[in-house]
Amino acid sequence: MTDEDLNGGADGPSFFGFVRLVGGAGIDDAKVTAELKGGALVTATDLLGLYKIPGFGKDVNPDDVQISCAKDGYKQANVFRHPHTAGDMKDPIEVDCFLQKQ
Amino acid sequence: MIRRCLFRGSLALLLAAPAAGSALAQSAPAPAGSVAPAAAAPYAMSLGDMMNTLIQPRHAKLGLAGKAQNWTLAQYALVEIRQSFAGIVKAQPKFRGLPVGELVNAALGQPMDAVDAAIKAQDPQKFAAAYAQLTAGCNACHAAADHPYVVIKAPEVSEFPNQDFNPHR
Repeated sequence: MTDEDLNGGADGPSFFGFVRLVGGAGIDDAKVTAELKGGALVTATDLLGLYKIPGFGKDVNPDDVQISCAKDGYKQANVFRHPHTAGDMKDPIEVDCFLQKQ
Repeated sequence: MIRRCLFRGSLALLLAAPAAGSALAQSAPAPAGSVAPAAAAPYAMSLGDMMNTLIQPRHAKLGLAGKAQNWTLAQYALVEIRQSFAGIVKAQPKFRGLPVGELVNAALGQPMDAVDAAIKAQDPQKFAAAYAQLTAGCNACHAAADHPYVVIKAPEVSEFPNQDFNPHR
């Protein structure tokens, strides 16, 4: 029931969001990459277009994590990072990624 | 009706209980050394509680009404589902860090519109397809919220012996 569940018990920032067609519905099985200096985490969206990336280490600054998305036949249009007001690092950060057909 | 009456009766009793308890406490002080009774706390419904009591029965009623081609009742059930979700999103905006409103929208927005269109068209085949889409949306949402084992399906029989789902004019 708590945000800790999405965080996977880690102390650092966690991310989630939707991959959507511009002005449209969620896109399933899209590749989502969370890039950070020195590495990247890759996951895929579910049937709703939702992805979840559990917590990074506590030393990771959320602003240093860049989220991008991709899927064959589409190109990335933009990424929207929802305002993250909570000071609590355990509050997951929502970043939506929009794709458009090529 | 009977169930609803009983529920209302229980609720009234629950609401009355704290007041009765405090009156008793004022008129009869507890003996020295006894432990004071815990104050009644309001019960906060979990998302699971709300799904079980507000959504699941209405999902079933929607399916039964549509199967019986009782389009008025089906429309009513669909409106009740939408209203219930609106209330649930207000009561619990987040579940496990995920925005409930966005999940509901992503999973059920388009299927509910499809069910609505099928009801308005009074088309049983379209309704069956849209209802299956809606049910799949429920399950996709459960999976997204880490509850993939809660699998919803179309009702095969009515679990409401006191309700007639056939159309009456």
